[in-house]
Amino acid sequence: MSSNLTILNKAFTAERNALSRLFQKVSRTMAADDLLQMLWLRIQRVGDNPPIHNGKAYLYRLASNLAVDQGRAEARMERLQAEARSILYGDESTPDVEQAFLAREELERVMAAAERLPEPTRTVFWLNRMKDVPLRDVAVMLGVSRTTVEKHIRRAITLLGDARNSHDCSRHG
Amino acid sequence: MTGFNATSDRAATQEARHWIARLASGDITEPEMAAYRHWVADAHHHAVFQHELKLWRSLSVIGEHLAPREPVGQQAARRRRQGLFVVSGLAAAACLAAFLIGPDVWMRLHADHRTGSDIRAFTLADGTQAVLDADAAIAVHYGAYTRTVELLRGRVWFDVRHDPEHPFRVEAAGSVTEDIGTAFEVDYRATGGVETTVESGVVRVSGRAGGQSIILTAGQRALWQHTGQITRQADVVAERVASWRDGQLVLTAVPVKVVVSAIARYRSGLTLVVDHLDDLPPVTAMVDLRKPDDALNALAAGAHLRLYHLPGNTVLVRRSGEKKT
Repeated sequence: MSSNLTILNKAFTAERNALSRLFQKVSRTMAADDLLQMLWLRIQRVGDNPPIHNGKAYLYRLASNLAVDQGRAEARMERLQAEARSILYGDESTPDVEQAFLAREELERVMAAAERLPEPTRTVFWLNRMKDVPLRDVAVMLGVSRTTVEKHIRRAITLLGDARNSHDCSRHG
Repeated sequence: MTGFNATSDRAATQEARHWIARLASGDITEPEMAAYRHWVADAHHHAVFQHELKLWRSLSVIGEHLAPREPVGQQAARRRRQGLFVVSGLAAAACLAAFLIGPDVWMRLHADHRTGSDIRAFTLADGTQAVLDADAAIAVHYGAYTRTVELLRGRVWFDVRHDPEHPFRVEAAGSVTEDIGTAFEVDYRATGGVETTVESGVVRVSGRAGGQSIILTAGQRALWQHTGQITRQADVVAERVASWRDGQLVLTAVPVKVVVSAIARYRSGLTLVVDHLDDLPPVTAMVDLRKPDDALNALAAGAHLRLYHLPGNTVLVRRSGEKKT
């Protein structure tokens, strides 16, 4: 019945290694295996009409569409991250927020709170804020889940932020 | 933006912090960005956000109070579930020399300051700070009118004591990097090129023979090549310039061969790559340069390498020949 699927699956099996090599050059964030997986999923969605005659040619067209889509998605992602970065750190076009730095006594409270940050919150936060490591990479480096990493970041921001906002600095310890 | 009490509105404060965490995550999505813009369009939200943002920005000055107290590699080993290194999708070409050779005699005779397998900070006669990465060497030539430092090899980060009467110059191969009041890194690469990256202030990069010159400001990078050609490279985050200075090297999707040579620079013994590593998947890792042997072991475990330890602290690096044979 689903003869298109049969043809494409056969072509996929035969071309798997060649496609894998091709995909290695496509993406900066996705492994070739993940792209192969996505390609396979796209194949499963191909209908039977019109019938496919040249399975290999069709397969490569699917692969090249996937590569183009992936490239666009990554370009969008990069623009988005650049925008996020300029919000966080400012750029030439946005003259800084009124006097970028905290008042002396605020900074001292934050420093004291930073010294008290427990592990692994401390390392997680340091990697993300000081070393500019994306959260997914922090998760990989520390061998913990993405959700855990995010939880620690929130915790660090909250602890430091609350320390800064607390005018009563005698209550910790 | 006056007359509001930032601490009084807990809900808005927590929302602002949520957005800061998302913006810094490295994977914020388009719908989220749209939601952020909508949220921040409110004047009160905007004020709270700016208040919290000020803290976020200020954290760069207290970095050392946040630094981990134990090497990241060890924490990961304790907590490891899926291995330290992960495969990611980049197949970049690596062209570093596979053989890393120990210091030679010529260098020993000419260098005023040099490093072996450690990172060291030196204060030069004028108060300028120079931090030498492992396996780097400089010669200092301070004259009546100029301050010239010759980078013999490796990479060095400078924080220059400003003195308009005596311009500060770094010469490496045929390139000249001239300070105009600044902190910057000069990397004399194994391939013969010289890369300059500016952390703050302004420098000018030119050839010793004259010709083309380029002005760089914070976060900007340029590569000088033998041909005398100077090309701008992709910008970097200024805070990450010379991030090797604190002994932690962050590598994102880097070819295995490059990681091996990066670690080898910090080992006291010889590290020899005796196999072809070009087609191994790139790795993402945090390397503790103070423990290069541990880093090499972790790399070997995660990247399908096998290490052979020879007398004299020499290590041979090969692929661990499994997989589709």
